[in-house]
Amino acid sequence: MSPDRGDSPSAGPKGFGPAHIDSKKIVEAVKATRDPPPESQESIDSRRWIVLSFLLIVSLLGLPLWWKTTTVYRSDLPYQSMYHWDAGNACDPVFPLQVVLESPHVPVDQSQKLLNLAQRALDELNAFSAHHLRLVDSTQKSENTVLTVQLLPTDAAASPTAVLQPHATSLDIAFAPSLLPSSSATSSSLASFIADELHNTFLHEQATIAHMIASSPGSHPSSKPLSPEFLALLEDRKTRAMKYSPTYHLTFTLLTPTASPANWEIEAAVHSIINPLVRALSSVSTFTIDTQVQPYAIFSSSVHPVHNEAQSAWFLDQAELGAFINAAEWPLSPSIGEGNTINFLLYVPAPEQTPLYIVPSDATADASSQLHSWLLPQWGSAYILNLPPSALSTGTISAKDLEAPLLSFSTHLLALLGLPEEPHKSLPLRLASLRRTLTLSLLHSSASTLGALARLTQSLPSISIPKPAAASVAHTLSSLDQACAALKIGDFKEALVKAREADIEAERAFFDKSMVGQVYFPDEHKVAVYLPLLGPVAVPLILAFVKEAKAGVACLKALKGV
Amino acid sequence: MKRMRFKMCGSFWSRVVVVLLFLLLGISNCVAQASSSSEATMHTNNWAVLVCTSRFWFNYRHMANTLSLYRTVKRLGIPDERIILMLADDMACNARNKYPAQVFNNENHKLNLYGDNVEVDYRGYEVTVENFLRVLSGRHENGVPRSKRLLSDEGSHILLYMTGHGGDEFLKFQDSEELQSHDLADAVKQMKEKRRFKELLIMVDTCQAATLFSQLQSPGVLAIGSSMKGENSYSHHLDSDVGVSVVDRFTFYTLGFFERLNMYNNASLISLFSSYNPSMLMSTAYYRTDLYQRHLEEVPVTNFFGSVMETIHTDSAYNVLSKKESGGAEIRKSADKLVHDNKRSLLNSNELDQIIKLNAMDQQGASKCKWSTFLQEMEKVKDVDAFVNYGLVLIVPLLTASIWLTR
Repeated sequence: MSPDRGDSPSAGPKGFGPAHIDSKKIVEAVKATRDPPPESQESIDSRRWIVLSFLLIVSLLGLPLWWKTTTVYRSDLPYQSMYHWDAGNACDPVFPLQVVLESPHVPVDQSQKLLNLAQRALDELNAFSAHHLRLVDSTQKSENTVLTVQLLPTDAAASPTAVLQPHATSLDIAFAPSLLPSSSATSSSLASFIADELHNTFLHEQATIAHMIASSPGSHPSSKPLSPEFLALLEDRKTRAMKYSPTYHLTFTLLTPTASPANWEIEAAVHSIINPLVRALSSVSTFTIDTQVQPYAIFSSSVHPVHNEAQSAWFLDQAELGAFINAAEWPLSPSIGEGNTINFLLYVPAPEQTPLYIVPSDATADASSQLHSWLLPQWGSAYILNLPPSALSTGTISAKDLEAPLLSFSTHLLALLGLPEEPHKSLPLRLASLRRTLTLSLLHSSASTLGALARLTQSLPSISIPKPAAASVAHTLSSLDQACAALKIGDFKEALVKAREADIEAERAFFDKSMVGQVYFPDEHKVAVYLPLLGPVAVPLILAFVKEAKAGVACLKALKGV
Repeated sequence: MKRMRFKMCGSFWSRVVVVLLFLLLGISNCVAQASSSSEATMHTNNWAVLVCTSRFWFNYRHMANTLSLYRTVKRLGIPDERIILMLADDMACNARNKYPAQVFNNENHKLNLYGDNVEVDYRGYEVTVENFLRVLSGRHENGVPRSKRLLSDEGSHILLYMTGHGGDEFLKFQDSEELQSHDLADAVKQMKEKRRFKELLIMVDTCQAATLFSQLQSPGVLAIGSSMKGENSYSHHLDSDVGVSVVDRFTFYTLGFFERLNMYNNASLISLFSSYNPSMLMSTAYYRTDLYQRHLEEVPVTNFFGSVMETIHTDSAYNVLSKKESGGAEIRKSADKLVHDNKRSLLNSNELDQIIKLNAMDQQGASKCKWSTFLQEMEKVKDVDAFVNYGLVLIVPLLTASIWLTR
């Protein structure tokens, strides 16, 4: 206490007056703890209400709200059927190929007999039941027919001959009418000839499909192991072909190391050569075509053509072809929307480096076989076009000069799309074969995507499964079922459409953009987030509750005591 | 003491969680591995994902690291469309850069890394953990162009290079986020599940890089880190003109190794791994091979750091239908090519001189740069977050005590 305060007459109670200083009393007065005035029952009650209402708000509103807003949304996925598809148990793909036997010049009963005998011979030849040929007569010809066999009786032919039409799905068989089976015959050389021809026509496709089914999960071991040469061929085709996409962009690029030629009549050339092919392929994918001209395109530093005096030509070593594409300098990665880009490069060497060829791989090859094109697996192809000086002087490459490169490119395009090599002669049959193998591979890939999605979502419990993803999964499953059903009845066009749909939807489900985010939060992070937020609120609330609870217990005890 | 206990406690719980996760996933994992081991696809293409996770001027060296690797893989043949480059990209035009629009990884300033044709896919604030995970897992927004996507397939070899500041089981992204080792492992697992790669090489240049690999469990993954747990990764040298360190040691010696190679060289991965000298790195390079099936001696470095496009030459097939493809002599890498590559070998010898010179500098300069080492250590204090956590934990008793006292 400051003594100055005593001067003020009005300050403090009397005992503190300057005249009666009693230090002991003062100390006692200070030390004495005085109870606060007793709380009114009203205020106690209201405090209890307050604590209770806070608790209720937190537990009834806050907690559910927190729970609701922090739980990851996970739609239900049909895991059972997803795993089922992935394991390969949901669908046994079958390929019943309908072949029509057309015989306008043969009596009906004889042709029927021939059909039955040929069918029996086919069944005996066939070792793989999932892919089989079904012969029907011309009355049952439908959209699903894969091949028409034309029976053409001619007197000239000594032994039957078969000719596969190059531009139609038709096999012409010429034979002597004497070969037709009689009504009582149990075998016929003509029937077995037809069966052999048909079997051989589809042998390659059958082996491919057998291999694909055997290498998919859930398959039964294949009865007949395939030859290593055939497996190498399949592997070769697979590494060469682009990954399937519903849309491909074909980009034709003209590259020259100088300023000329800066013009090419590509539109006309594409129109006459590439367009018909693209039209034929349109049932497989959609194709867009772009062209570009790139002057002053120089080699990368590791490519050095060598001049050969004897042949007065320049030569590129084969090992250099891998580096020929100057990825760093040439603008070859146009990112055009969805879908893969297939690049076709036409390189016109500088006049002083013309002609430019590739060194043949084996020394035995004669020098005249001038190599100037090559395929880059899964990427595209390149062609070196050596133009005579007269053609170069105009600065424009004529459509006629472009013919050779574009024909070469169209061969490459087919290889890049994975078109099977057999049956060698008939492009429509090869396309149909591609559609069937593609359907199967799409079925497999979408099934495995479903399996991957199922395993992933189950193994990462904190990842969200948004509604669109679940919808896509449902869509995939139904498309897969439809594709499988379409295969069973031999409707391969529909099957491809549905399989493609299934694949697109499965990819969409797997790559759903909201299924990402940091899925792993360590405990330290959770503490760091919640503590500063909830700590200051929770501590007084809990302490107040504990205090009130204590008081309540004491109160109850007191009541009991009384 | 308290800190220690907290740390132990934290790692204990995370371990329990991991063990539980393992138990939960045991069955599905088995299934996944069984199905993936049966396939034997061929290596078809190469991809590279190069990430610089730092920004700000003083992290100049991280951008230089990444650009150097970018230049190397491009030189060895990976086309730009198959390189995803994530870069803060705030150095070249930084006001403090004495060499505008240029970035160097060496004080001799011979090689401008920021020359023509640098295609940065994710730039500045786009370099986030989320975008990084999106690139790996392939889950993008609809409008993202193809050049920003990793469109690899089951035959792809992917190089994933990351550099920045990291610590025990994490890597910082631009001082605001962290990539946890769990996140990385999950992303890799998802990639494997969707068959987005055949083989993956993860190369990380950061402090305690080895810890980032601890959660990986997918087959076909190979990992190299610049330092073990508890070790720092150091920068190589300071460029007094630029004013900051321009390259990290681990990356510097990696580049030194690659500058000696050309596209057709058959140096194996083991020769790369054994080229790291701990006394030069001032840390121990760590590599994890238990998930990788092939022998490192048989794997050429160009399987990851480059790409030699396989070619199948065809004679001029004029008729589509007759299909006269010559049936393809396939051309493979050959080691003895390029006799007339004078320019390149000249460059090589230059680089070699440079390396030798700098090595000499290292040894004599080791004592001089104690102060800068100290500064670097200060810069790389890794437990900042932990400190924050302890502070937050302390709030509870403090609050309790204060409320008790004011009762």
